[in-house]
Amino acid sequence: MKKKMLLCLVIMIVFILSSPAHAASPISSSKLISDAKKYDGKSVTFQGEAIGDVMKRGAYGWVNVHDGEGAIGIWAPMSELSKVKFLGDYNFRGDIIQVKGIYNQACEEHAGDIDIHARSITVIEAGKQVNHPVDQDRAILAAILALAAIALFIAEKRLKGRQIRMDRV
Amino acid sequence: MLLRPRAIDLKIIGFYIGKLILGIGFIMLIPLTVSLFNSEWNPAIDFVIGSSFAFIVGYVLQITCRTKKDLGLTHGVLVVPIAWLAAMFFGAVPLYLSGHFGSFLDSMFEAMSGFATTGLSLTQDLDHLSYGHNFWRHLTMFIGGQGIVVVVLTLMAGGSAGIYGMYVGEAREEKIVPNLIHTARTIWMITFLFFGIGVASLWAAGWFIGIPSLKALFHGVTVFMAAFDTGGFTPQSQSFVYYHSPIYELVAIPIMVAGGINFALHYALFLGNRREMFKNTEVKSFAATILLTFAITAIALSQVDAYDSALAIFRRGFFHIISAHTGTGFMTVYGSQFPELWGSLAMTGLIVAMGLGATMGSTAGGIKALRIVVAVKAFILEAKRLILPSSAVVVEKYHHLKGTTITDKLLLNAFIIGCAYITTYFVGAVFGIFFGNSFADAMFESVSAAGNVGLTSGITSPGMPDLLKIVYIVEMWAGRLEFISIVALLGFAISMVRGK
Repeated sequence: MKKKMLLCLVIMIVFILSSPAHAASPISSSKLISDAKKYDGKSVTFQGEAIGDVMKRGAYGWVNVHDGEGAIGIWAPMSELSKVKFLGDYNFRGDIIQVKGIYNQACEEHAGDIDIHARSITVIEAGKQVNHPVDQDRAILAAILALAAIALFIAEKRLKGRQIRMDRV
Repeated sequence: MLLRPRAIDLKIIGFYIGKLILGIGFIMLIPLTVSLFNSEWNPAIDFVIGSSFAFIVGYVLQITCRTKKDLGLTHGVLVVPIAWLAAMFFGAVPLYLSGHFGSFLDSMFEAMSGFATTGLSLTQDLDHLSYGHNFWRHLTMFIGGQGIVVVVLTLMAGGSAGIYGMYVGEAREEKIVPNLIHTARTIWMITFLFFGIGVASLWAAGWFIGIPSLKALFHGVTVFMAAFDTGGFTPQSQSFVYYHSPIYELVAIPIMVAGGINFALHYALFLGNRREMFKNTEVKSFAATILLTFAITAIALSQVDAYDSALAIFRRGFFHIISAHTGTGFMTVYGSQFPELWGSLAMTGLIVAMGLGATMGSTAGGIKALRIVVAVKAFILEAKRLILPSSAVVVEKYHHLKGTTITDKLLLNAFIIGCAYITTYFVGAVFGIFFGNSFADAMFESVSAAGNVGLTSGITSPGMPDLLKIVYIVEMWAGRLEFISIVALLGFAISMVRGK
């Protein structure tokens, strides 16, 4: 009986320790911003798409990471930031990265920035170039409208010319 | 007795609205070029559609409303508010086609926010928006800040009384030089001078903080257009938080201040009259209210222990006061941090700064410093009249390029416009409260919309109710045009229905 109880206890402890809440599951940007006091100075995991630019500042740098709700600035050593190969913009889907580090509601080092000082950055999913095939229906509509605009331009110029001639007469 | 407008009046108004719509169509060729330069074919198609649509409607109006009659002063005043609504509609077309807006209403909101130099945004997934569309968002601010009519004025060869009506209708009364066309061209000359210096500085700062050079140039051009025209759009979704740089903020501050200064004063400085900067009562008032609102905000931030150091309080507080007071709307904190971290007193400092606005004849919105000067001087005048013997001649003056005596007419004008702004701030706030927001948040957002600022407490989002979007569109439109031309338009609409 005692052995069974002990086994149950061990299973429960293992289950609790391996549950998502303790496995440092990513926290959303909206939660980090709205519950900023709760997470301030704590170790957090944040995950999202690296967007824009990696902005190098000496041995460290910034990258902004967007999790679909909002973006947060990540301050990290360049050795970690160099793992980021794709940055999200119109032509690219950026790398999905997981950041582990200390969250600051008003960072002392960066004069009040909301940021995460990253200990580690892991690329979860590599980014890629996004193809934007030309929308042919839209292109046809554009051509028709452009032709109509040119026709009206010519008509207006002729009308104007005729009016000037009539005024002279 | 109300007189129903004649068909010829409608023709004249239609003809000039057509001209302004054609102007919007021509201006769309600029983002079309940006799209082509970046090999963005679908966005380029969007601008061909938007531009062609504007040309078609513009030319149809030019043909059907052709008339030999000249534009009168009243026609001019009426053309402006309708033209601004038309600009919003046509400006929204390429934005909607980008696929980054939830509805056409959202894209019209964005277009009005741009043209009115507000900066509240409903763009979804802004960080993946094409260069062409992003450039168009910022260009709307540049065009709207200069004044859509000013832009078209510079393209027109002649002028008439009606052109002056359009100029006044767009909340500009001061002629920098006697001729109106030359005034419009002087405004452009001053703007391009600042454009060169501002873009070069932002480009260098962007490159210095680690943005690749070509991209830093794009940021430089777009941020300049939003800063100098006190707009507040930024190319990335995080506003100025994106840059994480005090250097970039430092470069933006003088550009915002320059945008908040009267163009006539810029011209005086350009001509070498540097003393005017120190003598000008409006500038002194602007500087005083900046210091006052910054003091309120700084004290509030230190009271709530928002930041650990005085440097952080200065960096965040001063930047936001300049951003709010000039009506720009750049942010270095997230919107929800205002109520959460800054607290209501600091928000009050920002609300006051947004509500007051910058100087007359600038690109900024809000009540404006000169009207505050007139109100304060009138108050002093009345106090003197009470204290001094009845036989004493009491006069109050202020200096704005020349000495001006406070008259009842000046006071009445300042009072009417000031009251119109304050009423609009409160009406907008009531709508915000109606949709479940706190008074502080609702007031903050309403003042930001009507004062054409663009700071947000987090209310403005694609998910907000459509009615609130419409209320903010009306606030942005009315605030930018300073009400008078809109009241004239309402009178015109009533006379159409009830006139004889």
